[in-house]
Amino acid sequence: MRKELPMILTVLSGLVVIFSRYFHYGMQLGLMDTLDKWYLVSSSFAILLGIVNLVKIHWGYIRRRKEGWWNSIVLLLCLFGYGILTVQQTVDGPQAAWIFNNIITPGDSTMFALIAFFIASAAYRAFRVRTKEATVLLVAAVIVLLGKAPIGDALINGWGNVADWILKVPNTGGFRAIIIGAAVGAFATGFRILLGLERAHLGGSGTK
Amino acid sequence: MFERLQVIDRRIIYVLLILVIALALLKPIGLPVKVGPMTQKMYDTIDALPAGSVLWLGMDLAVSTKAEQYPMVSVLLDHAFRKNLKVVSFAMWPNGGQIFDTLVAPVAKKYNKQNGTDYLNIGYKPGGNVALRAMVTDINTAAAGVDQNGQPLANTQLGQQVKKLTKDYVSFIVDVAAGDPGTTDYLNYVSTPEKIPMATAVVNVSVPGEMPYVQSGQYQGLMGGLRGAAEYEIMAKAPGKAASGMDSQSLGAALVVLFIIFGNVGYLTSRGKK
Amino acid sequence: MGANIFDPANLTGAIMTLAVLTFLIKDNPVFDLFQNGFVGLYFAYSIGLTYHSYIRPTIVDDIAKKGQYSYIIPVVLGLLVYFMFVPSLNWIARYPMSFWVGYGAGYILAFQPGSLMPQIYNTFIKFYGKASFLDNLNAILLFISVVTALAYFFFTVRKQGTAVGFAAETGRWVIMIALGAAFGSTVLYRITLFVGRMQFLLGDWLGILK
Repeated sequence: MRKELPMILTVLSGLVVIFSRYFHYGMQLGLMDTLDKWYLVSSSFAILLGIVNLVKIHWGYIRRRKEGWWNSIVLLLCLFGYGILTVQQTVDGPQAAWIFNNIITPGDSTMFALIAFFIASAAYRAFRVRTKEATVLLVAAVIVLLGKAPIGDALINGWGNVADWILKVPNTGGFRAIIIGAAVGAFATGFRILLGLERAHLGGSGTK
Repeated sequence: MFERLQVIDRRIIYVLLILVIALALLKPIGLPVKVGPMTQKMYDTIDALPAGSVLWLGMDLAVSTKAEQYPMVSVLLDHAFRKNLKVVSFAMWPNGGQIFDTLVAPVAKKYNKQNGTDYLNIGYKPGGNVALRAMVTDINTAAAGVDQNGQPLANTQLGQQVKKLTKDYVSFIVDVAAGDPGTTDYLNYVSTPEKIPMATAVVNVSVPGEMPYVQSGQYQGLMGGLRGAAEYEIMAKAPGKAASGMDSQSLGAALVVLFIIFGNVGYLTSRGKK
Repeated sequence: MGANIFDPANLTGAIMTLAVLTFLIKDNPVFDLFQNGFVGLYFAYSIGLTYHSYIRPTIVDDIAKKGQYSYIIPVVLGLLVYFMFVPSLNWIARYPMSFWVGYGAGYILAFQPGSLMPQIYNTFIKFYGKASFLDNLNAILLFISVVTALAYFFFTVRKQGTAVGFAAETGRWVIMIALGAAFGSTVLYRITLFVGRMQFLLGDWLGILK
């Protein structure tokens, strides 16, 4: 009931997809059409999972007056205030969309843009020609960096072509190996889950 | 003396980066942008689609990648509407549906296109790859019957016309993606099994990882980063924010390279002394 | 030109942008406050969005109006996950988890090979034929890159002094070039994101861009 049934449910739901995809009778049965919809409905009803966790953590901070607890108050106010607003008028409603366009959008895109500065200063401090490997990495990075911006070709005509060649040949080779490796890994994990060897989602020790 | 080049204060780098980018925006030098083969292929493929065919636009991005990807979406819509293609948009990322609404409005006005007849925003649906695959079976069921704004899909002309994400209904897919779920999901669950050709418009950071799919011909072209958007703007003759950002992007990149050189000159001098 | 810096929308956007940028000087209370606010807003956004795009239409339209009562099963299944927060009954949450994990694994096994195969067989094409000398050379180099880079990932094979070892050594250089290209692309990407913010501050807000 606690371990065996969920285990069987895991295996069966995985087999349904494989059966529906690879077997003619499976395709005709249309079982996957139903389960796709069930998956979507059930996962949409689990949307509050992360939010319950977030509230628990920050409510704890406020109760214990942990350093910076007022930040947690702001977080919860924004969460509940905007949550109610978006449920009431949808995210495209006038006030909800205004907040999205003028608070969330600039804030979030600036958060991501901040990294430009850290990556620039990190490149300056860490990118040294210490070993042969580091030198190759650095040269490839500089060629692609300047080559994919128009300045490469403005400095030396043909720079962009070299950058394109790196992307098209050695880079494609390297990433293709990574893609193949990752796919084999994902495939193996999928098999382990359906064979009941991977049990992290059932709690406990995880693998067997 | 050169050793000191290794220990420049990070705040100097910050200030210089801001200044260089601001200056290039205020006084553009107009570096020429050459159109690359990957963007060209994508443009040509879309350009060859007959009027009235349906272009499926995956909106798998967030507001955080606004600078690179809003221009991509705008120029794609401009091209699609100019060629009188119908656009159906679907988002696996929460922001995607709303971003589409924001960006489609000015372009639709320019070409006098109507919501529901010329374009349809299915919007965000939870469930990632499963939601995407469910669109292949039946869009209305997968979308819970409503578009981004909660309006019934069945009430619109395009909603009635485009029933499934299959090659009978959709001619071409472009996924504008900032990560996962995104282009590989389209490849795995739609483009390959349903044999619908696709292209992708990704942030610059994803370009190296997507190159193997360009080589194998699984993507009919790729628009990479702001540069890709600028190239597309040139071809579509619709200059926008991408083209105007090229100079400052270039000078910012050059500044970073300059500092990398400084650091290494300093490092090599100090190593030579030891 | 002609922008109004006191326009509420742009002014709010500018304050948000500048508040986040203060982090460049150092970590400060203003930044922390905004950061926490964003997290709250972001999660709230997902509630409103999912409610209107899926939860409401499922309950109101599908179940109540159209009488598709079978949808009650996934609704209940989804809700079971909240038993996670009841320590004595948290095993009940394993049921929805099992369904999602198993279904996801099935998806990978059923669909991934289709799109992976072209990756493998397109490594072997264009060795000969009508392509130019340069195309053929690139095809051979690509083949070598893929095979050697794959050899680099063979962690379970003894490499010392073997052909696999030699290939893996070459593969390491290929991977270095690929990672270099990835790093260069990342730097350019981040710079672009900042250019976007400057376009907003100087153009949309201050109105001093042409």
